[in-house]
Amino acid sequence: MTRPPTDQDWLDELLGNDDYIEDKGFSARVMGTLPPRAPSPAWRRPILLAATFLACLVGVVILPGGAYLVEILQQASSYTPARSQLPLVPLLVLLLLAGGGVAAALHED
Amino acid sequence: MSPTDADLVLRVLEADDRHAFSTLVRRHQSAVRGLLRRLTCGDEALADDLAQETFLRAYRGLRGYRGGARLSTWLHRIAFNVFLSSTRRAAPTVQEEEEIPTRPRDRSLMRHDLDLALGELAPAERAAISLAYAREHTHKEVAAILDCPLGTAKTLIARAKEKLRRRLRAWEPSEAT
Repeated sequence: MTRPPTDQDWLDELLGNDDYIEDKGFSARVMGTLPPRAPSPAWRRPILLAATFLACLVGVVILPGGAYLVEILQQASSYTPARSQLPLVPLLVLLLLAGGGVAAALHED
Repeated sequence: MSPTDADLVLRVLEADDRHAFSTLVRRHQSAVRGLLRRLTCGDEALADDLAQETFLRAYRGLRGYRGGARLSTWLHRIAFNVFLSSTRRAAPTVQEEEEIPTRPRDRSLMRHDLDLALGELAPAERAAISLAYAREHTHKEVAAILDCPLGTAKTLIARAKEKLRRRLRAWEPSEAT
């Protein structure tokens, strides 16, 4: 014998019966209405540039390999295609890092 | 493991992390839109507009969120306030009373009739019963969302349920079935 349904049963079930609503672009529309990001503080760009410059300085002068890099720079000034290009690799890496730092500073908006 | 709501809120507050906020929106959109659909008596377009406004207000006021309550409770409170604002703005309309059929034929008709019946309730009653059943909030949370005493929230839920029971009597399964 089945229990006859009560008011409680059918109304509770009806009220609690709420399907999941698929997103279908809703979240993207919400994100599109958000205000633009606040601009970075004015001091961030010079700080980043200064930090990049200092890091380069440390790399060239203070670290043990600094003298070697200075030597590479001297070699580069008298560079001829016949000589090996291998010593230039650290210099290129350093330039690449410095370039990255400057780019990061310039994109601070 | 997916980050908790509290983690995501922190990321939005500390770094204006839009990806974190987007995750929160995706996580809660169904519940917020569902509540607003019930409050607007099934008007999906209006409900989505109000849900969008709800999340925008939530983003702007996220610093005011106290971690003590569930984020969903806080969002539903904003949604209810947005709904109330919209009803104040809208010109009063005379709603034609539609006859509810004697016997529900399918699920979509039942949903339609429930929306009609909900539309006859006062906004606070509609919100209270929707929050208590569809969103599974406790009575205490319903009171917090509606900004009313606990006793008032319980009364609103009971009164709304009684009105719905009377209005939807045609759906009541007969004892023979």
